[in-house]
Amino acid sequence: MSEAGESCTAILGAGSVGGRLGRELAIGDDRDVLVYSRRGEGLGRSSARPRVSRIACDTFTQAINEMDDSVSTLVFAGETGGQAELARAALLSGKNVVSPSDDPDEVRDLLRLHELAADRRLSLVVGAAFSPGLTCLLSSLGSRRFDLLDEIHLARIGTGGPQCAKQRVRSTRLTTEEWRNGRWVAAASGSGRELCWFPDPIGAKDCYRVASAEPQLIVREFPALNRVSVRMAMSRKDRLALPLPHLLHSPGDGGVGACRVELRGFRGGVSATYVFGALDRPAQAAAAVLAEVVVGIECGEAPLGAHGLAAWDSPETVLSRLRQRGIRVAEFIGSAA
Amino acid sequence: MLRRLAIAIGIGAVAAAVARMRGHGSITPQSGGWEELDDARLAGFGSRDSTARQANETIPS
Repeated sequence: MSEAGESCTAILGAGSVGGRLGRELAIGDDRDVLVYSRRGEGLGRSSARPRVSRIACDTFTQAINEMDDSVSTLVFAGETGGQAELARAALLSGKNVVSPSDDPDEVRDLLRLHELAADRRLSLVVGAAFSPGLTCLLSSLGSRRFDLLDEIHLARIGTGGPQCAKQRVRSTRLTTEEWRNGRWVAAASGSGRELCWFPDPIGAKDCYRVASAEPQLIVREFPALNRVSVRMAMSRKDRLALPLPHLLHSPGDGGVGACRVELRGFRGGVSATYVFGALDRPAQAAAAVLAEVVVGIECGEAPLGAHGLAAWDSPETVLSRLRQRGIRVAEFIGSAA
Repeated sequence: MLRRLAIAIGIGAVAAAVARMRGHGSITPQSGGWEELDDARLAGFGSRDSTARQANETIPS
């Protein structure tokens, strides 16, 4: 537990991301961390770190209600669903909140808490993971190259842990919403095949539309964009298995993943395209981004209210600090033949 | 007769599914490669004052 007067971070969920986040904060940032997991779900890998305390609780609502004032920031690292209600309770008790959720409905509900968070001078950071999260930072950074930014197209491959894989499967079954010419247009998930080039050694993969919260987070910060889309790489086997239950189908669970951000617009009066990307284990990268967000909140760098990472003023600083955590980003230099 | 019809419909459905999965269009090769954004290159992106975000904000949606 934290010493008197020192704030600590609470993590709800001890899975692939939660466990790594605890270690990132305790080792890299020398912070006190409370990792909560629900009884029956296990406490995650035991840790010898003196600054990480593992706590079992019946429900996360109960855990939030019982947290003392030493907890300044709360991070969701469990499954999606119900985070908006938990975030409201946390904000009402004066805690900053960070969510890595990629569920479009959940993120919409979380962004509706903007007034509540801003009124209480708290930060609610939404979509803070690998994709969304790192992709939002790259979009914000890349936007500086343009006189007029017109389109942002995102693509991803790979999943973090089991909960992430579950959400990715769900995202292939929901109707996706794309931003086209200033309005939301519904499109079928799994449609719109496009060959996307990821950082080596992944290379070129066929990607298809999926339901994601990323367009919401991007459009919120760049409302004058004409097009925003998100695609995910799927193999033929993945597509064939889509109708099957999740237990039989877990596309790319774990392992190395990648994300790609393509920005199109005008620079110096001519059209221009810039492509950025990252290659890493999504769970590890998500934990690093979450840790950086927690540190940013504590340092007063996070904007007040509910925002994605595209709203942060200094993406180059965050990306530079992520480099120190081992998360490298790259730019594609070349031209389409 | 019905059996042949059912077999033909089945073969057609499988062929259509395979064609959908294969997709269409051609692979576009690209030249160039990925270069890491180190601290110096990250710093070279400039400040937010000159971003497209502000240019976009001046354009009515």
